[in-house]
Amino acid sequence: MATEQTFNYASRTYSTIRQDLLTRANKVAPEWTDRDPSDFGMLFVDLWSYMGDILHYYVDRAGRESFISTATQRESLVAYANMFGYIPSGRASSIATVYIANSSSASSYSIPAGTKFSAVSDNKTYYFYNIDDATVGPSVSAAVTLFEGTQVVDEILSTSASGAPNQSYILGYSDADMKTTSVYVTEDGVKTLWLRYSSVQEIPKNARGFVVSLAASGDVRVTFGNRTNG
Amino acid sequence: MTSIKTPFTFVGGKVAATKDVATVINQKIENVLNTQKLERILNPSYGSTVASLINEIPDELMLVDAKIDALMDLEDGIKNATILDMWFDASSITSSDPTLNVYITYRLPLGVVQRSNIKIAVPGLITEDTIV
Repeated sequence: MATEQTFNYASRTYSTIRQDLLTRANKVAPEWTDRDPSDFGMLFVDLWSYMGDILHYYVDRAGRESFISTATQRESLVAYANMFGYIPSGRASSIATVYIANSSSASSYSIPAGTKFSAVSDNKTYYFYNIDDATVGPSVSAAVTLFEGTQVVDEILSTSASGAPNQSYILGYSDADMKTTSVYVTEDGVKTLWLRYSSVQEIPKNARGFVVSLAASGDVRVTFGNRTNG
Repeated sequence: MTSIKTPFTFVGGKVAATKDVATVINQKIENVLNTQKLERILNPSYGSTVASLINEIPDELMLVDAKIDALMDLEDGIKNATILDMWFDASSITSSDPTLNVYITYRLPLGVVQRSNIKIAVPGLITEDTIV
């Protein structure tokens, strides 16, 4: 009884695929014996082997992207992290704490949010700003936390949000600092600051909350609740 | 020995094939001479410089060089025939039909000597008038 020829799955390179094809050809077409490179059949064998080699390369690449230890693309790793519920921290601005002293003994001094500070290092100027209002009382000093970068305000994500669950938007700046992202929603003409949560599951029911996450493409995504959470 | 016949065609649901050795060798000669070096996948040395004559007006010296190279290339590319000689017929090039005739004589395995004729399109031929 004839036995089925087993297929060698380890034949994945041009030369081994070519050899397998010629071995197979010897069995199914024994009358074809010409192995000159000028033979039209040999040209076909070469082209098929080349195509097989290239396809195996892409199969390997796709397979490697499925494992953390072998993935090479940021997009693969972020998607893999999202699958396990891990939220990558994303890009973060440098943080500085400055102490501001008020020499006046009579009045307080206010520092509004968004006030620009600068620092020079190695002849290069870096700009910082505060994201919260600060007040320094009379004759005291207060610590103010500053974030490096450029403040982006009033970026409009949507002007016609329907209120549907699970809405998400990509921020226009892909290098935005996720930790300092704030979202305001205008409802019936009233502008309200929504709260940031680390995941949609943590948003209480009917709370006005949103989640900032890193999309697989590297962009920063803002996601709203699903009506069960948020 | 059966070889696929060119031009590639289907006959009765099967690929057209031939057992005529002279036809097979003719096809192989045409394949070698019409393939430029580096053109064949993963076989950069396969082919001939004759195919590149399509790009430039050949002169006598260029044809001599092409002949020396082509004879070696034919020997490498064709195993079941002995290439005996090859020559160009530049007189075939006219302004209305700029085609260079290439003749190749070869000996088949059973000793029969055959002659093959390949036509290569060229831009023209260098003459005293074309030299600027």
